[in-house]
Amino acid sequence: MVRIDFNRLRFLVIDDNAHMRRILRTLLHGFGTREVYEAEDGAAGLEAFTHYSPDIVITDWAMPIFDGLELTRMIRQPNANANPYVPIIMLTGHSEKKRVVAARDTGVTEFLAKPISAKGLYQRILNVVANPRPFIKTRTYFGPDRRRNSNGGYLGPERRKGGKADVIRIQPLLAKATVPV
Amino acid sequence: MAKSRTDGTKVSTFADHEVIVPRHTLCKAMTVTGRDTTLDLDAIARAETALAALSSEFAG
Repeated sequence: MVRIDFNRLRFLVIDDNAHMRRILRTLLHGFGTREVYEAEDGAAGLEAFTHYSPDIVITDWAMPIFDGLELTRMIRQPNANANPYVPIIMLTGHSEKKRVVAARDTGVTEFLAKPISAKGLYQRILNVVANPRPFIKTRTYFGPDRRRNSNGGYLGPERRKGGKADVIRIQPLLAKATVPV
Repeated sequence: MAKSRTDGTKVSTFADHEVIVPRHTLCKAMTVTGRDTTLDLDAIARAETALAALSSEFAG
């Protein structure tokens, strides 16, 4: 089992809802965290991020001034002075697939749908602490590797090779599967 | 071949992308006590208890 020593981690919680910030702070203190910083919108969140250099950022999606996605884009600047590799856990009440994909493609590390639970939050934190993913930098993306699992048997297009999709033919496998009459 | 930067990150460069392995700074907070991947249920229970104590503040 992997145990997390929460009192060695600094969190930044960004949410425009004071009750939600209170709930998150209570959960984090319950886990054993001592340092929890708070901000009520994206701009204040970015300022707090630069000032406190938290180990993990937990942010809401919908916020005034700029939202969680814009905040993520600002943090994920490859040449920024502040830590662009910081794990970002995105909270939202909208868990449709297009939302999850948009968050992932912006560079969010973990996604947590509201209503949140102690177990759900713990699992996301455990994942970012115990299973950090490498970062990928392309012309259009900078963030954690969006491929969580490596699949040795993958036969689809290799989209990272040259920009264009190279479709790998699986004719030999199909030929083997044909039963002679 | 991966190249190391001064900040401890390792960078492998490919034709159209780079794979960057940042220094694992959060390992300072991690202790491996066994092979199983079960959650620390005590920590979760403590957080749930703290949340339950908070619930009276939100009641109507």
